[in-house]
Amino acid sequence: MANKTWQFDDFQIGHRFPPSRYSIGADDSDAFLRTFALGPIRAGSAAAAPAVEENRPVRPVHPTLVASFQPQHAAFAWPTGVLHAREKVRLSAPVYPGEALEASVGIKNKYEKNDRKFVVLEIVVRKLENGTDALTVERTLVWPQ
Amino acid sequence: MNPKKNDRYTAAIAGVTQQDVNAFGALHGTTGRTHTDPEYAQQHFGGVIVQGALVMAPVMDLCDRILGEAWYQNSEIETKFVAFTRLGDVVTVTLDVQESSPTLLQLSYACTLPDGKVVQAGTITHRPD
Repeated sequence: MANKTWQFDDFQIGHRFPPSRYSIGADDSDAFLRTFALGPIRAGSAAAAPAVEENRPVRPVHPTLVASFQPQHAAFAWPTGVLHAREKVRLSAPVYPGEALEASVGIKNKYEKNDRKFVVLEIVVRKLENGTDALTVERTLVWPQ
Repeated sequence: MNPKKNDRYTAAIAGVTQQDVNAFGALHGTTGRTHTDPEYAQQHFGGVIVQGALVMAPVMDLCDRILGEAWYQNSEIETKFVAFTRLGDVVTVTLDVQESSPTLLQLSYACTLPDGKVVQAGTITHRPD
């Protein structure tokens, strides 16, 4: 975990932090799924409600967990009061429990709007086994004044 | 599943407890005081804020249920967190199919509280191989 707390003025557009490596085990993957609950799906118009599919031998790790804030913690620390404004996640390949991953965090943009300070991060998560991208996150955070 | 244009899917996301927020935060790396320190959160934000990603995660589960394994590739979700979700809030996610063709599936979605207030809104795109 990085020690230096980054203030808005510290960020330079285009900067990339050194990549960090991690993997997500089956226990954490399962525990993550237990932190929320989606109820039955109701289908309107002519749509058919999707059937519950619980017979997959191994479910991919939830993309929200793959795209977590943990790589950010490895890159830099942030002050109390940072808020999450937007998130865009592009999924390129499923990640399975135990796969070795490498995440690279970069500063895509920073700007001020309506007296609020925004920092846009780009986080690229890559599979180490074959070098392919698993997902890319564009995360917009509001920095405290 | 083969969603068609104008299809609509809805589901309820159960309200979460402080324990859920803490457990999610420990795994997700979002254990800031706005989420985990009720006294601080009350003083600065009127109460604990549920992580936006904790509401977005079940929306992705809905995508998993509709698209299956295909969801995990050539897909994109874009979300704007427009209002705070609080502990215990039951959120309804409504997902509308805007476009469905052999090469593109495009959906819009909104997450609303029982009073109709929108807390998240966004788009989902999937491009089949």
